[in-house]
Amino acid sequence: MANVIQDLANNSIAVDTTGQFIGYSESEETSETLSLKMYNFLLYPIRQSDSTMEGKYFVKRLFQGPQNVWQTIHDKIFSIKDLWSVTRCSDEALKYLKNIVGWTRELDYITDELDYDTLRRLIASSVPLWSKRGKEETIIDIISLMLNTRCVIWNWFDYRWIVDETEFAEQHAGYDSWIIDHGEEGLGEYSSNIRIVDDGTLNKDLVKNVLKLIRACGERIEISYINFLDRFLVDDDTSQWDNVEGTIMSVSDSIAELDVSGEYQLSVANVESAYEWSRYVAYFRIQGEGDTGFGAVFYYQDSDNYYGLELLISPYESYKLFKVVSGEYEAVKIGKLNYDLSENTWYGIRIHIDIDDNGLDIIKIYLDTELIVDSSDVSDSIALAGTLGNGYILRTNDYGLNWEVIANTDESRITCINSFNNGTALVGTYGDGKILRSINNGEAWIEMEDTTQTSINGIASFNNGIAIATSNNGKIFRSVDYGINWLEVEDTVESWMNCVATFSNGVAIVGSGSNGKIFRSTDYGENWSETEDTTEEEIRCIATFSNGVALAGTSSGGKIFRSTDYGENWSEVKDTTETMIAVLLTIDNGVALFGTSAHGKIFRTVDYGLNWSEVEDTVASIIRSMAHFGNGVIAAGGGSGKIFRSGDYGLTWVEIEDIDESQIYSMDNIKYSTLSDLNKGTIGVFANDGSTLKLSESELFQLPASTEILDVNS
Amino acid sequence: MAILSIYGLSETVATATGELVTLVKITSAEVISSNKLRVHFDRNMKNDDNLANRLFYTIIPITSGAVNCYVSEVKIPYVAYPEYVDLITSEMTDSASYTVYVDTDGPTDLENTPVDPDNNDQTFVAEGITPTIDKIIAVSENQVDVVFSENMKINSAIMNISKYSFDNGLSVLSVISAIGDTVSLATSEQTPGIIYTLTVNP
Repeated sequence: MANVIQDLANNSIAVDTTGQFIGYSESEETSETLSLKMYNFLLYPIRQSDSTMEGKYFVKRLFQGPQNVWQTIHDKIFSIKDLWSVTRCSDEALKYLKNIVGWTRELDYITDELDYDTLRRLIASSVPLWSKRGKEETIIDIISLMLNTRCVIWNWFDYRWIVDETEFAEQHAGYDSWIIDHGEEGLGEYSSNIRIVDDGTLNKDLVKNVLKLIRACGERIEISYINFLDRFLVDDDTSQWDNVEGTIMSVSDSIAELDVSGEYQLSVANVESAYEWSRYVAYFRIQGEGDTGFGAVFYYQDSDNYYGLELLISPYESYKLFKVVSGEYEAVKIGKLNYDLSENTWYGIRIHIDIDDNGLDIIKIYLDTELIVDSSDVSDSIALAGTLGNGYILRTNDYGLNWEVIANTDESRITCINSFNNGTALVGTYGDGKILRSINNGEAWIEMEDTTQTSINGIASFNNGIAIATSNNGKIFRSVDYGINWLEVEDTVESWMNCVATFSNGVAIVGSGSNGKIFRSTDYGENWSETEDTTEEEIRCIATFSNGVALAGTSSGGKIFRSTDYGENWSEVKDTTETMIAVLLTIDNGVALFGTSAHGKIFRTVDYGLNWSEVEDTVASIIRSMAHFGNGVIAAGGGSGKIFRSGDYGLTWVEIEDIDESQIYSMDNIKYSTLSDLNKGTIGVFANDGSTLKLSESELFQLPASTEILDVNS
Repeated sequence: MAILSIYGLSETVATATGELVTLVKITSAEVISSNKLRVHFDRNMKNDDNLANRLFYTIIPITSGAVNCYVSEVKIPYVAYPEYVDLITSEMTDSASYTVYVDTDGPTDLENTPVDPDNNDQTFVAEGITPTIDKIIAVSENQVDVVFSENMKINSAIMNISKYSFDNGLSVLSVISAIGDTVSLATSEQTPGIIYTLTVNP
């Protein structure tokens, strides 16, 4: 056996063992292409001269220094790729490589003791640990089988993606990992987070032990115990949802869908004690189709009592925070984002309901991590005023103490301003008869309607989104969507229609500007009829109390007429002998005020308009506009661009502003409805008639969050 | 336990309390691979240090020319009371006979019964791995390195140029060196890009 080719175990190679190769050819090393000689960049005559006895290669030797520096840099750059190789990585760089396989700086006390070869072997042997470590799907399955509950895992890589540390600029597509406050800043980013539904019977020790078995040593896991989770992993499983009033929810391919055209669709979470949930954070990953709106509800008690956030595929509005209380719908805040929402795009809605140190409700709603609704922003300190002359819009943010011009409409006159109870403001203009709309406290205005009339003289609104506008030629216009779309609903054949006011029961009244007639509607402005002829020259202004009392002021005589039956019958209660009652303001404690022309006087009543007394002579030519901030603070605008202010329900007045305009012609404060009607209830999703909704994930946990840290050590 | 006396059959012994017990037998030696041998016992064994101690297992070649073999590790299956152990060994010579011995002072069964000195061995035929050519590298126009699949024995055969031949007119001029798994051959001038086939015979 000695004369055969064999291995160390005396096993011979087979007869006619063959192998192939390609004949040798010169190849240029890639590193050579970059290993340029700086010297060779010099012109040939210079190098030739340098090579003579006279030059003695002085220049070449001079270049040797920078050439060496360049070579070192070049070698370093090309060695970067070796950082990822456990065999080629330099000894000095091993301390970085070890982090990748879990030997992070917290464990330096172990790895610092090792020589480079041992550390290299440790890194190599740690790789299989990670490649064989339990996957998220496995853990979810195991927990589901052993504990009969639901869970979701956000791992280290999910967090990297959420905090935008990836390089691909992906859309977050509705995922919002920050639903749970991790307490210690940044903790969530560096651990994985397991959210597991605990109905009160969960064996938490078993959860922790299962995780310890499956996860790698040294790994930190944050366990959050939540109250509700549905990721729609099982087709047709809607067991956690109740469909309201004919709603059909379907589930397939991990997506739940509400889609039955022609009906309002609403599904709510039905798990145990859901209707008792109070302080919580709820998350929905949704998308929709159609322009009528879709979204999420919270504090749901029954189909007549709940709150919700509606998303809108609209160039005018992005969302509405609304409430349905005793069956009455009201948009509490309407907003527009910097971008238009799109159909069939995932969005994440996070609804955060808590209570502050003073016991007041805090409602914060986030869309894709952007805070869009904050109940603390709902303020009654803002008012808007419009001018005669340049069509400016002024704003105060401090109950009328300071005013500034915030918009120039390029119209000749802002004839009227009206605000819904959700921050949405409408103004009417003189000249082109336009209606403008703002949903950001008056900063930006969009023309919603050009009535082609000469002037829009009055606008009033109901809390359900219906608004009524009056114009010259006796026409009445109506909107049912918070002022976006308008239709002419009545032509009274009057030559001029002045003012309009509403009661909350659907009654609206308007006063004619061409004679003393009053028209009335009892169906939110849809149908109209003449209810009174005062025989005066003009009904200049009109206002209402919530108890059914209405007041109307006239020009050419300055008389006040009063009704106690929601505007059906009227009688004269005051004759001022002034030229005109230019503005009327009613406050719900029985106080009302009116301003006059041509002396700029202010009269006041404290008994719903029965008896009046003059309280101020502003010496302005006219008091044309007034607004009440809700706490007895009143602003009044008049001739020569003057603004006056009272802090005692109109008893005493102080001039606080004088701008360079001929008149402060119109004024109203920005109003918001309250959100104190409901304080507990379940969550759900809805799609309005004409829209569809898809939901891929929904979860909820009650505050304070129940979380604990698990360090896997053994 | 002390063996006091032997009654008839050698595998039966009496304990200090007079109880008769049957000694452990090695029932077979199963070749798993060129360096892995499975030794079967006739019963469940105590999973202790003795069972895992490689020094209690010896492999002796029987066939002439077979390479010596040593046990580097004893692998015990993941059960409470194993019936066999796997011996990790150095590579053995293909088709050669070997005998494996288990020391009678080594592994015991669950009752601390030792291995029967008359049944503590098994003979088996080994499987070796035939070395192959892993790759051939043309390192210059006049030299190729032949890399085998494992370290080779450096003897006169591997240094003999008659064992190597090329096609396409390329000839072997000399064997420059043989180190580890690599043999360097000096060749006549290679034509760049031409595929050559090297044939090696034992």
